[in-house]
Amino acid sequence: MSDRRVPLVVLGAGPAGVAAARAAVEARVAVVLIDLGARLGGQYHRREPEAFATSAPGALHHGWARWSEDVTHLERSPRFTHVAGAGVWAIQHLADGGMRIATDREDLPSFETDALIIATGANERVVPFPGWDLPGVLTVGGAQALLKGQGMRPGHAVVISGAGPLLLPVAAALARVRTNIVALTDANDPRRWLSGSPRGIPLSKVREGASYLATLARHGVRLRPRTAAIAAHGDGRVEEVVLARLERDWTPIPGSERTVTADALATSHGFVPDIGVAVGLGCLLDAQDASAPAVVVDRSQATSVPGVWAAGEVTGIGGADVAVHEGRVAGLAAALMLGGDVDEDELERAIARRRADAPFLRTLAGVLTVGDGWTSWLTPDTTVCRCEEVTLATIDEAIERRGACDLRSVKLTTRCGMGHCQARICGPSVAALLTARTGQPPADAGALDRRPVLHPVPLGRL
Amino acid sequence: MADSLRVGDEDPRGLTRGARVELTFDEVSIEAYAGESIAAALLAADVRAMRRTRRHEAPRGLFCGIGACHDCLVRVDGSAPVRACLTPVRDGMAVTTHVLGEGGPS
Ligand SMILES: Cc1cc2nc3c(=O)[nH]c(=O)nc-3n(C[C@H](O)[C@H](O)[C@H](O)COP(=O)(O)OP(=O)(O)OC[C@H]3O[C@@H](n4cnc5c(N)ncnc54)[C@H](O)[C@@H]3O)c2cc1C
Ligand code: FES
Repeated sequence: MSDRRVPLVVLGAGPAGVAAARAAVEARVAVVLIDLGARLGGQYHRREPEAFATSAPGALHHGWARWSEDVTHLERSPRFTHVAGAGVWAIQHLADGGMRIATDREDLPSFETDALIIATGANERVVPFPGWDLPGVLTVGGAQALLKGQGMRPGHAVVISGAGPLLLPVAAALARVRTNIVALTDANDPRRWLSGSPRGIPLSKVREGASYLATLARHGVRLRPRTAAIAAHGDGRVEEVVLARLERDWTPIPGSERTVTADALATSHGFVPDIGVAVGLGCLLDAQDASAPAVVVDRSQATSVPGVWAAGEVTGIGGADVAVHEGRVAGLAAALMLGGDVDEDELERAIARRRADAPFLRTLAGVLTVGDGWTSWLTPDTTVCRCEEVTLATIDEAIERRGACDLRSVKLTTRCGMGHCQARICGPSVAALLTARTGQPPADAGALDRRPVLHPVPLGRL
Repeated sequence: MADSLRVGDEDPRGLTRGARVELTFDEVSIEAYAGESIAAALLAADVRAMRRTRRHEAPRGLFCGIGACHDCLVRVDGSAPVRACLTPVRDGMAVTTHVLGEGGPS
């Protein structure tokens, strides 16, 4: 099949990608929006399958009205093409400054494009612990995806445990559909930001948090701060979860352990930007947090690579509203470069709105912390890399006895990160373990995100 | 069924599932609804383990739910392994546990 040349490709149909696409089509630039999902929405606005019918599709979603307006507007535009159900597995630079984008949709040609907006979002970060690889343990976002995407509860007796602002909306949504929530715990103490006391948390977010807590209270679910699921047990599937109270740095308090019966444990401890595409294209990274490198962008969301912009969680964790603000800037800026009909004052206004998010982002960064004490949840035989079944003992041996001092050398000595998920799950933990054991973050942060093939592809396509 | 994992009238969206379909998992018959992912259908049928690992033959199941972790790999009608969380059910499909990491996607 011959390649198709388009002016602008947006990769990722979440809040950031959709806002970018809308801004660009409004500026009369033709946009191809590519996403793995069957429907627009990304993680935040994930929907039920088209084979399901709904009478009130937005009832489980926050901010549905604005979202459906964006989507309706986009889908009506003759300049908009949605390439759904397509995983992008490779992007190459072309000699003429453009890029070639290959997807796993066998019925479609590759796309050649002059400009690209990367809006690939984030993956969840999950701290490993004994039993986290048992069936029945899933991520908090995975539980949310099951509910929003499938109308399904993750289990009959569910523990929700982790850290960060995702816990509350997911727990509240599960409570609303009468899930039996055995325990809800946050390893940090979210009461401070829920009260709105740190500067920069917008009132709307404080209200949103309060409404989730009220829903949970109505269903008799209490949030336990400074508590975590530190182990799961069961014969071939989760049967019991061990909860412990934690010190401020997440070290379990001896004697505080309590075992509860559960058939599902939803757990995650924050987000990591999904930078694989950006790394492949050579975009500069900010690796201040070696466990969660983010793509560096300037005020108009341009990356260090000409013709490539980035917006949303891939540039740092900020949530759906910030993703929309960034998407709009990126869409307008890319359209301007492509000769679209962009009012420069409008671009400046969009940039100013994104700038106004800065205090919130600083506060959020202070809230989204992973305590160093999690390493004491593990035993030597705890799996760290799920795909290649690499244990903590093997990684420690590589670092302490075989002198591995960066991500690449741990990968080569242990096979950590070489499996199917290509380090999406274990990468942040390996970086954190290296930092803990050697006293400094690995110099090659982001190295595990370098993937010649971004997603497994049918052999025939290679 | 009160203890079903499928959300019923409690779903505020007023959800109606697609047509009833039937598939098999390791030769046991399972009911599902058009539009559901294989992973969701298995979960509803109380199946939690979808693949077995290469080294320890340990059971694995739905984990990330969004196609990132590949712990939900299954085979469909003898195919190369696919991600159960991304693959919709089809009437009459024969799903089997993916074992020993053999024949993985490239
Ligand atoms: C599983 C999960 C559930 C979440 N649930 C919530 C929630 O309920 N509430 C909340 O406030 N926040 C949630 N978040 C946080 C969420 O990341 C942000 O709130 C928001 O969705 C960010 O918007 P975005 O546009 O940056 O990215 P996303 O919404 O994540 O969109 C990125 C899109 O890019 C696509 N993509 C990435 N790589 C490729 C590729 N190679 N090929 C094709 N497509 C690709 C993805 O499929 C996805 O659709 C969740 C995150 C995750 C990971
Ligand atoms: S559950 Fe992670 S890929 Fe399917």
